[in-house]
Amino acid sequence: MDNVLQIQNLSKSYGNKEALKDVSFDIPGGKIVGLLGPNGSGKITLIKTIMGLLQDYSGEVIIAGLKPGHEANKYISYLPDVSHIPTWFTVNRAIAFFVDFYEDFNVELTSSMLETMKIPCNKKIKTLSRGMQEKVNLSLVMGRQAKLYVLDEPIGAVDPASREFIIDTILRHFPAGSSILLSTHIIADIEPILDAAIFLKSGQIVICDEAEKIREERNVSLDQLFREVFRNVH
Amino acid sequence: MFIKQLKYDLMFSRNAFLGMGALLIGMSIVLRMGLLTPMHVQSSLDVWGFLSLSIAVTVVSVASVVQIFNLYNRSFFKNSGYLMLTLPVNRTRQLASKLIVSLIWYNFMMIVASCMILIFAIGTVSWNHARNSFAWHGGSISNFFEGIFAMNVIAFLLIAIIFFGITLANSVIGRWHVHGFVAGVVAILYLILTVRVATFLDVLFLGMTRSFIGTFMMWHSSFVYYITFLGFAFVAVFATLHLLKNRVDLR
Repeated sequence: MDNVLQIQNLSKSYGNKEALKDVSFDIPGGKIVGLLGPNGSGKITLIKTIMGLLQDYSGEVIIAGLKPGHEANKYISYLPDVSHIPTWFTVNRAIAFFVDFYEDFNVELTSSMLETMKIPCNKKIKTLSRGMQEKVNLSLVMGRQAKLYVLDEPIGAVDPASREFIIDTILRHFPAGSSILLSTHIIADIEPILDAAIFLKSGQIVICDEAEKIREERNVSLDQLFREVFRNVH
Repeated sequence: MFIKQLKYDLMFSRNAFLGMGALLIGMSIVLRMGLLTPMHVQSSLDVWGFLSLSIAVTVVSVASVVQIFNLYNRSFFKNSGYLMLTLPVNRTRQLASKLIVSLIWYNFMMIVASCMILIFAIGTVSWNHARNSFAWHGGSISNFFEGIFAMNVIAFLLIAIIFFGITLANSVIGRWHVHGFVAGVVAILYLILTVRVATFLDVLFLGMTRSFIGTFMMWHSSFVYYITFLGFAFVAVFATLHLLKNRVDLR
């Protein structure tokens, strides 16, 4: 399977502070990859670079054969860790926005997701609870038939019951051949769905392997390993 | 895609500008009705005419600048930036769209200002007085349109500099995130430089015309100002585009 994302020797500095140091990894099609690390480990810098929100880096980033930018954005569906859809939009308006800008957006799929979650589409997003807003954002992002999904803390702001539902939504709706790069602190909940994991510490990759292999070799879960690796990192 | 971008930029700012326009016109009506007392009607016709013009232009100009600032800043550099800057639309088109939309709203606000003046003018100043307020240099149609053009050139320069300042305040230059205060100072200095250069060129060309062509030829200062303002505005636009493409970092 072709690589959906290729990163080679990626480094990014803010003056003397190195946010990313010689980061290299590939994500082939059809994989769910966890991007794991504490605050300040470089996860956001890496995601911003993939999304074309940061420039002035060294190394190479290739998404579906393209460098980061507006052309590559046709193939990446991005869920940031902030509420990026204007909250004065109604849910229906947000759907119309995605229809207008993304050719791969599937209205029926999104509408069915929202219906399952019992989200009223005629209401303004700001009138919905935080958890519901997260679900709306996720439904819109997963409603695209993208090659790469970049999800930054998709379950960060929702209750444990909703987490299961969101994870199930992610699993059921991402197309075959596409991949997901999923950044989170809440590893225990997402561990069962991860095919591979990347541990990022102080801008460097400390572990990058298939999830099953990591568990077998070290005889611990990813969650336990995360706690061990990052125990003294604040 | 560009048309869609325009549509959404208009939509993003629509409520703020329409609301502000309605509020200003409503306030003008209320204020005007308050002035229709016998004490005021006869005594201060011209004073109120002049005052209304000053108030309308000042309020509308300040309000427009604030709203245009918000339109650009919220759209690109707050949470919505994670949506807008990751759209499959290139940054040049996004910036062009915001410039056009800002000019559209600026002109809308000028219409609001005209309405405010009309509201104040009715019954307080003579028709000729009012007509002259809407026209430049004597009231001919061509002068009226020249006035509109001049206002748009100045507005384009101001909008370009505002966009440049906001983008600079959200950029990383070298190792530093540029501080908002520094970006503001740079933008103001750029505006001052623009006006100084325009004045210098006007004086320079006036001297040259007198030397080479003769004093009988009327020199059009406004032409030098238009060209200089537009030139500096485009430099600011290209600088903004460069920052958007290479230096911006959402926080």
